[in-house]
Amino acid sequence: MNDQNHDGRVIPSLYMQNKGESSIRFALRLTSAPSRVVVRITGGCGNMSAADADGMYDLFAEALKGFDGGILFGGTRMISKEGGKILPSVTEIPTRIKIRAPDAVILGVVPRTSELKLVPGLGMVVSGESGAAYDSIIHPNQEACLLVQQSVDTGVEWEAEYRVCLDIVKNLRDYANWQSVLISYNGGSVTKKEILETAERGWPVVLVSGSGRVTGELAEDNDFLNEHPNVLVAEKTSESLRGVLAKLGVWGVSAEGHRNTFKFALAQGA
Amino acid sequence: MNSPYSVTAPGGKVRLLVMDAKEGLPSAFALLGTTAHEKVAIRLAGGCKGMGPDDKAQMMAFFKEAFRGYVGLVWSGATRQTTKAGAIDPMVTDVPGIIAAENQGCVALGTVPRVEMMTLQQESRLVLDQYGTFPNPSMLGILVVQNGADGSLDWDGDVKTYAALMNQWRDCGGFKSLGLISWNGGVVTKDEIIMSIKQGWVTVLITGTGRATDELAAELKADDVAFGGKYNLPATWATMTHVVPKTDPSALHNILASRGFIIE
Repeated sequence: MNDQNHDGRVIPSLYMQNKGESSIRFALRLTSAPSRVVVRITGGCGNMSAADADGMYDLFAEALKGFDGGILFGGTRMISKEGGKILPSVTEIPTRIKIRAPDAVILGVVPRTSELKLVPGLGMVVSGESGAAYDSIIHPNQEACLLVQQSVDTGVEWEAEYRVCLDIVKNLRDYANWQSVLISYNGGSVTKKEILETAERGWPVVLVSGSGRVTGELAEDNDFLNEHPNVLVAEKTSESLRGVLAKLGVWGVSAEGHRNTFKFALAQGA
Repeated sequence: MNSPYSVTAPGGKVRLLVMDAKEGLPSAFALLGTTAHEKVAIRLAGGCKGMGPDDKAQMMAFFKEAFRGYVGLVWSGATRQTTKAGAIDPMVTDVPGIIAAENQGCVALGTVPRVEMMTLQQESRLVLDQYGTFPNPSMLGILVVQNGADGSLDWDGDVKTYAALMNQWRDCGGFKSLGLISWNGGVVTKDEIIMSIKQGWVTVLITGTGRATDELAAELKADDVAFGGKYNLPATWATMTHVVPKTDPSALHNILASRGFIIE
């Protein structure tokens, strides 16, 4: 479905969507994954060093080794204005997972918060104000990216990303018998909104404890966890995260041998 | 015995979605199609004009046998009609529900153009036209295509929509094979057959069923070169087009198996 670069890398397809619309092509792209499970990765990298970021990438890549469902993420890459370095970010995680999970289908959702710019050597810049330390570009390593805007002339807030992801996940769950997991790492106020809204819907959430900020705080909030039995906590190790995902049935195979079975073990008291 | 109006769709409900013909395709309906166990889709086209009760019973038996082991998506128009005595008057649109009921993992869907204002009658029963045609309750989902809230469409008003959905399933959803099977039918069916061949879908005409399907099959058999020229078909059309007599369900079954629709 995707063209490839001369070096064999997939060239992402780019879709534009006005707020309130839904994209049939984007939704169907996810369903081309062998397993009917979508993992949504959210969070941030506030107060994170480059070494911490490397640990985060390894953690996710090892925990999701062999995963063959869909992955929804922020769809951007941050490039420093000085030196042009790729900055540590949660949005780099899917690329690392893909190396160890080649059958996973990775799609990004990017809110158009300002005018898009095509910059030589950088690609499509989605934000990069003159005073900012970095430019955000469309991440080049994804199967497809959905750009969300209010209209041609009006952008949207950054939180449109998670709202669109919630809509996509809801459609997959309601109409296509998919299951979902939100994995949260670090993050700020928008991440908190996404965790709370997902938890309230009763969908599975995995918080990585010790990852910092909002995710770390909620992972230690016993009242919140007791009120939401669909929210699980994983330690900041690949073994722990993989174990929690296994408990949720991400790797489940049905008695009939069908791969497309994600059993929501929590609902059954597992 | 179930009444013709009894919902026999999985889960005891038929999901109804309404879209405007000029709108983008609905994700929800497209996703319903992906719940089939195998990512293959077959559209049934045609009608039952001129067919007696025995012919219709034979049609059902034919498709049951030919689709043995089929666990993909099968769909058609989404209507049902009744006899004067109040029993189901079997039509091509009843075939997907039968196939799905016989093969676990198979999904039956339907589309229907809104040709008049829909009405609720008797015990809140949804009726699609002045002749009492109603939505087929054996399908997992039905997409109603309308021309705006005030407009109406002809009975071919859903053809472009279903063709676009088929191609989206293939292009974006990983569906491996698409096909169309025709039985009897009139002008709309004839257009659908030609469209299917032009789309590159596997196209099977069931002969002996009457009208448009037989007419096109006869034209094809008489002079296939002229047939391709007359309808401006792509060079490879003959490799994707089959003719099967209605007395030979095994022949259709074998085509479905050889084309990847049925895994044996």
